[in-house]
Amino acid sequence: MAEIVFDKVSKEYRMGEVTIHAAKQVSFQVEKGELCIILGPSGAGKSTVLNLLGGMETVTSGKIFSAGKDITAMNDLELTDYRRYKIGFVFQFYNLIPNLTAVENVELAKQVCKSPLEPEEALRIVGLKDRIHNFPAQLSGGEQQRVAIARAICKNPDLLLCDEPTGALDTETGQTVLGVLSDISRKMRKTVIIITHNSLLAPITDRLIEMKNGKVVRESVQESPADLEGIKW
Amino acid sequence: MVTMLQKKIFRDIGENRWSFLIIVCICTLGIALFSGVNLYTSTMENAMTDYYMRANLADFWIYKADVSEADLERIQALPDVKMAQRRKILEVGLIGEINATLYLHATGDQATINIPELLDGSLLDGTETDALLLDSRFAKANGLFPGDFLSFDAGGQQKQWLIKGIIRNVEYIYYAPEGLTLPDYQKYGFAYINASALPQVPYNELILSLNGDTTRSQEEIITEIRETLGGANILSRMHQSSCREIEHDLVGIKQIGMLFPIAFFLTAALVTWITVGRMMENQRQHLGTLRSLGYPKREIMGRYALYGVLITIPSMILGWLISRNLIAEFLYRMGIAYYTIEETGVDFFSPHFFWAVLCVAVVTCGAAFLSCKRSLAIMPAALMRPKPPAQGHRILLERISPFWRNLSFSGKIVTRNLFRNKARMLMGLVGIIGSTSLILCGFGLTNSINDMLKKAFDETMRHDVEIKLKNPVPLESAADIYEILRDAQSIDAAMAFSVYLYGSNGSVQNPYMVVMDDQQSSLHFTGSDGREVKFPDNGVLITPRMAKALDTEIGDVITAERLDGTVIPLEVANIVDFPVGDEIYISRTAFSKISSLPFSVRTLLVRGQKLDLSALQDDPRISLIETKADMESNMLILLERLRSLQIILISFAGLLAIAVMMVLGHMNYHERIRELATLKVLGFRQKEMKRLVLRENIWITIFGLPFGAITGFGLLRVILVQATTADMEIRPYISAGSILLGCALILAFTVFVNHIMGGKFKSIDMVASLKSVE
Repeated sequence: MAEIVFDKVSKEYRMGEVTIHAAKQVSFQVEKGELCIILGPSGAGKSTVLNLLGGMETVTSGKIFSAGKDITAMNDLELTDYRRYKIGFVFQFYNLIPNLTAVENVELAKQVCKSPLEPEEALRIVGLKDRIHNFPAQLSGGEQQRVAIARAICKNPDLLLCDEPTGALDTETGQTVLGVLSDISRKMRKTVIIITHNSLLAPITDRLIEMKNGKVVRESVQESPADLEGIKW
Repeated sequence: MVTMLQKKIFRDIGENRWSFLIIVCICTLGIALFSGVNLYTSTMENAMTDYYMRANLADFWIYKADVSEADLERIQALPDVKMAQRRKILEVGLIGEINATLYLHATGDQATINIPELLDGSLLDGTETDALLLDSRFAKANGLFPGDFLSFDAGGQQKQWLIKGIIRNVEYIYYAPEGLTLPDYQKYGFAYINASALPQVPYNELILSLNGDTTRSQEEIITEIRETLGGANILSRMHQSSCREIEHDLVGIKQIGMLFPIAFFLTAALVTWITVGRMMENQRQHLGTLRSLGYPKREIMGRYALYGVLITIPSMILGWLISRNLIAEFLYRMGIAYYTIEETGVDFFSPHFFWAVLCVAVVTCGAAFLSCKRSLAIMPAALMRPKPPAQGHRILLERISPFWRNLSFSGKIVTRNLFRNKARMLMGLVGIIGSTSLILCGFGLTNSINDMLKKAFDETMRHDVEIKLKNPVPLESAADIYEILRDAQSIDAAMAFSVYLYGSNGSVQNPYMVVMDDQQSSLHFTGSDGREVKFPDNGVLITPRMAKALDTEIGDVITAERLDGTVIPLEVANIVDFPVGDEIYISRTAFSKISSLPFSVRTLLVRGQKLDLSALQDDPRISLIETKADMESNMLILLERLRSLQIILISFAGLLAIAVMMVLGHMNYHERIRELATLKVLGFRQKEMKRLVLRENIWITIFGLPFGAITGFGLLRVILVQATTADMEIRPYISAGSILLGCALILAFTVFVNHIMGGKFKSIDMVASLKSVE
């Protein structure tokens, strides 16, 4: 079985009278160690998929397997443990704790893991060594995003989930951040899933899943992904 | 029409409903407590003043062996006297089934001063010689009605008296005859008869009322009356027992009712101020959006002041309901039982209510307005961005490296959070210190009263029984009483009479002067240092409150004046700690040096267990036999009203504490929901999140408790100093048990609120909370 399996997953939100179908019968697979991009315009259901995979929401129907375990069958406590030991999450808006320094934000994640990386090591991987004692407010957007990535990888998770990690960044910074993510996938053999609405990122990935209106419209595997240097947006 | 802006503000309030509701509760409690207690005292004062006016209460009661027609005319001719009447007064013992004492007042014509208020039957027409108007409480206690007869010997002839009417009288609103701490309606009553019914008895009392606009002082008028009549006992309202009791009674409650609620109100106001300010702070970006849409500052500020209005109005209504129907009503029920006065019910309003509402309005609207104004001073574009975190610096403790290094990670986070968010910590501290001090002050009131009673009854009073005689008798005439009490360990005879003391600061006190054997063993005096004080050969022993009232020290000579006008110079020999009673003490030796008055017995203080007192019960010379247990329980009953007030104070303080913690918890929760959601996504378990986020509340509580205890003691001290009357002095004392209990309660409230808040962590929607920067 593949590392990640989505099997006819649907998610509905009830807003009073209206039912919103955020994900309709979504099925796809991702292999271990792949860098996967889920691409689609806003409202396509990308974030829903990511949230479901991260154990932050529950499905309406269908099944999700992560490393062979059915996470749709997990209860609240098991889901907490799943997030705790298996998942690293990178948010579009970083969500760093404002009154902890960079290294402390990373340490925060270290607290809850079994075999974490050293926070300094995680920060070195993302290319932040000098400013680790600065508070988030003293860092630029790209630096904050890298701290967020460091926080995610410090947990040494099997699966790194990134929600629009370059959404709030300029091209150059975005490239640096993407470089970090692709290194994590290639060198550390971690499965990395990135969601974005930016199709220019598509060439760099091992696997591309395109979504529209809550459905997967295309799934493709690229044998030889493009180099980051060529990407501009 | 409701504008969109108003609509938005109503929705904001809907979203913040819990914090909002709790603030309304806090304001309600503040208004209710402050206006409730004061509504009670003002209702009582109004009722008394009104009754005094209506029944034309005398300003002076003058006693003289024979008040002649000429005396009356001379008094009536004095410039400030509005009305004067003479009466015959007489104490009689009932004959027959009822064993009781009646105090008779006989007037020559219709009473124009101290007018009786008829409740049942009819008034006297002035001609009856064997009819009377009877005290309503006495009638009720003994099951007497108009038409019944009483038999007693008045002025030398025993006859049957018809009860023509049942009355109450303004001069007997509170009736505890001399020597009694509490009313005894079954044994003591009063009655009014016609003067013509007592032809042999001379007029011996003169009552008068003054013109309302007199500018002269009481002392000047007393001196003038004394000169006119040539020696007489003169009692003003300050000394007349009913008036004095009422006055003293209200003083304690009034002081506690003023100071405690003010402290309460202060806490509530501070917490409200900070909370409303924080609510506005959280609206920051919305304000930016509104500004960028082109709304003028004035309009935004005006609308946001709605916050204040919407807090004030419900707290005003709820506060009034609780203050009148719960607090004032409860105190009124407790209080009115002691007074013989028409039950008119609690007034609707007192000015205190409007002051309280005004304060709430100023605090809530002011906080909203100012906080809004501060935000609006920033440019709209800057306002729309999230608040630039001011957190970019380290706290002082981090610079103390050994300390900081040894702290666990979560310890570091908790410590830093504590010191970072000053408003949050300040609000927590104010709330904790305020409510701890209020609770401890409430407990302390009980402790202090118990301590005072213990001191009075266990340490100072060594005798077991007190026997009061109706009239002073020479020692020899009491020999047979001594004989009956031959099993007693010791008997000390005491002479007591009322004196006026004049302080150098112009104040006048009216204590009893008690003369006792030099070697007496019934009263154990101690000085301020706690050491025993023996009776000195010269001078008097006075209480600290008397010393303070007269502004006098040990060694000073004060002037004492007997009611008949005899002046005695008194040297203050020592100041002794005697918590109850308005008395000064002197030994027989010292007394004989300054007065030629022979020693006579008024009271016998008896030591000894299991004495057979039955032989004395019916002795006509004895007016009262009271054991120590009786005295103590009477004292407790007397203090019951203060205790009931304490119950209200303690429960309100507890409610305030809970409310403050709740609002603190809620504000923290809402302000940190993003942080909490992040922790949750990172896989933190609930317990771990609580440790990181909620532990700071416990720390705030632990920091606040000692300061709360200190403030509480200070508050108690101020209240008790204010509540000290000539009769009673209560020292501030909070027992270790109370301090522990109070602190434990506050801590328990904190843990309870943390528990509730912790429960909410479960329902945090991670996706929604982290979606975007708001």
